[in-house]
Amino acid sequence: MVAVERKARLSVPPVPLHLLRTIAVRRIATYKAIVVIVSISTALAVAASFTVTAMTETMIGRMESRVVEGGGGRELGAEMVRRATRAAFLPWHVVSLAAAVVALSGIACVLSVNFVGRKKSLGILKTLGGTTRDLTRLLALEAAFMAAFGLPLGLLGGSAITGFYLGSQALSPWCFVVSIVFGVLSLASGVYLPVRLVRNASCAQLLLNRPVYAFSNPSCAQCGLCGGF
Amino acid sequence: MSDWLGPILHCHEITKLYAVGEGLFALKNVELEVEEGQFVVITGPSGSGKTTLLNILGGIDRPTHGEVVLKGRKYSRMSEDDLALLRRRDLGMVFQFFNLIPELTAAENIGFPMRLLGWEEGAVIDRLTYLMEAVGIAGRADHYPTELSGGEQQRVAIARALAVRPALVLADEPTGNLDSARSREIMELFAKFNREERQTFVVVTHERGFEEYADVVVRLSDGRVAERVVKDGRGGEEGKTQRPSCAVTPS
Repeated sequence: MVAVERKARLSVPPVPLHLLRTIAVRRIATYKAIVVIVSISTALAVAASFTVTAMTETMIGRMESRVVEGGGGRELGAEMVRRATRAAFLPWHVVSLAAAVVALSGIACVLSVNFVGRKKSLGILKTLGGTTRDLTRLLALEAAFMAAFGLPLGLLGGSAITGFYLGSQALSPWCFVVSIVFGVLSLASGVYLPVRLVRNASCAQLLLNRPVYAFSNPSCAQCGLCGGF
Repeated sequence: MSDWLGPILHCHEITKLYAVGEGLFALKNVELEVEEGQFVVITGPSGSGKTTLLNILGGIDRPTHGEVVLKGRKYSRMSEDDLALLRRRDLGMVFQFFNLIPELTAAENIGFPMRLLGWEEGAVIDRLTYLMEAVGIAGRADHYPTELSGGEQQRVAIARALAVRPALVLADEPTGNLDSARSREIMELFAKFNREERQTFVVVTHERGFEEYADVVVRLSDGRVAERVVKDGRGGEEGKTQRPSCAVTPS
């Protein structure tokens, strides 16, 4: 029998960042990069289309004020043009907004579903001595690299398409700001679920492909309706 | 070689119960003690609990009852992260399906545990060079796992498991995915490191032919230790055959 029991708690040095970086960079698959680029491009196009609408309305407003100043009394005609413009843009706005929501939630879905496919590789890292914090850092790094790679390319692609169809004046700075914010939020929400799952998962759950639950056991595991990830 | 005196590993009444209501035991009251430098082979038919036992020894899975103590540290008192750190420092693991990190090359896979422990790059390169030569994959350093054959992948996995000279190397059916010639080569590798570096091994295999490499053979049956054979010399005649009273507890 072992006579002496050593102190069970060990110090926790993190996995060196360059090791995680190597894995994260090589982990980014082409399809994930394409999803990010398309999503950001779509977001930019949608933002630009709203800019065009806003610009049109401003122009109508100026025309209207000139008419009023001139004493023409033709406010009714200007209002009709304004309504016609809104009506013309409405279907485009609805469809493009839906496309943007689908595209941006695509980023979140791809990252979340991706967790299931890589449980084992995360389990291998844990078997080799990676802690929960190391795995969390790896997932965050991957999202950061996707943002660093996908955002500029997405903005570039979106600018080219939008400039061609709506004119370069549609690309106001706020379009870029909105696209970047939405892109970053989508990536962050896409990382949230995998990180949560990794925090709740034991080495056996990851390596032996057992179900992992989003909420800590036993509440979620006892329900088991979703079957876990 | 470690400075630890006494058994490297001690398992006390390990029980693993699946499906609590049905009382389905994977392991029942398993006792095991491994001394430093020993080559222990655990054999048994399919479903006898070999892999479950190895997963518990590696801190990957937790027993329903019982205790595992590695160099004086009790697993039951450790969190998941503490166990991960224990594996990082004191355990090397070899699996049937290799479990290499697919994003890293052969050399990077082998160097991973050393870099994880913050070894200096010079020491990493020295050890890496030695291990790659020793396991016979020096020419495949820059190849990714998908570019290697099964035998080569297993050699990389063995080199990775031995990299930081852990207190204990656990191998789960390391030859289960290889042909008989490659299997023998792999077992010879284990024997070589056991002989030359006094590396302690616990190898799970269903092939009884590999018992010849062992100092101690533990035969599992239906989740219990059916027999424990201590050899007086590797490859020689079997010495004392015992069925320890504490090893099997009637259900």
